Amino acid sequence: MSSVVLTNAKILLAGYDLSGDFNQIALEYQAESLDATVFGNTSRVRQGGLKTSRATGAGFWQAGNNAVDPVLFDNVGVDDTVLMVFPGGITEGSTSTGSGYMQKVTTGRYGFGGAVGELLPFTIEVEGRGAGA
Amino acid sequence: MIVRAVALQDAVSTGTACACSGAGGSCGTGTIKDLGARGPGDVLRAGLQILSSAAGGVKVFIQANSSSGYTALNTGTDLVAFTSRACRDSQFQAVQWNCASATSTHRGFYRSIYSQTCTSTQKWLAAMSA
Repeated sequence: MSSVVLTNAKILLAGYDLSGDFNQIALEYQAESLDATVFGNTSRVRQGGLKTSRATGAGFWQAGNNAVDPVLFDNVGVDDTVLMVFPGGITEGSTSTGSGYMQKVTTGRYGFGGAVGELLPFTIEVEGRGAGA
Repeated sequence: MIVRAVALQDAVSTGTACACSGAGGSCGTGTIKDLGARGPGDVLRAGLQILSSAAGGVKVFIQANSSSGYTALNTGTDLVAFTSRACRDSQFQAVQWNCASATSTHRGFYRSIYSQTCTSTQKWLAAMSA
């Protein structure tokens, strides 16, 4: 598998292909590192805890039927939508380039704003939900 | 929970046969993918994005099989049945692998199939955890 130049990422959210509206995407997957240190230990002991995931992205604001603004605006606070991100595009059956990530999410933040003379940008932040379906 | 995902079918499909309904790959099938043996207790996760709206619905399934054959005599087992939709939607399911129901080996070969309303066209993508 070779490195991926981020030119053709696919971003699918809640039944919409928003790839053509985004110019940035980031996924984070992490686990809490719990302090399990007890008397007698000479260094901190860590134990893996609950896992969390989130995605952030940005792009250019557009309004209109099925455009990015109504899609993201209407999904704020909505649970159990599905986010899929394929950083190198979509290739059926591929576990390398052409594969991606998916998760159930809640859209927690959507914002936009910019300065005079610039294309109006938007930003979005979604949080992964739960361990099951 | 986030999972690594393999796209099984990235489709623009049309229900061309009016008898095309129900489970079993009656309308069309996607790429067969060997994702390796799964053990008892493993949880498989499957996601679906329906990326268009149409007058008729599309219902997508994900099947498992112990070989890549998927012949007429060995069509695999419907592992996931997504809800039929005529409009944009996203769905996510988790299935705990039941080794006891496997025929001989842990089924590692997966594919998506679909049934669709006659003449209806929709764009959709089915994926499962790698």
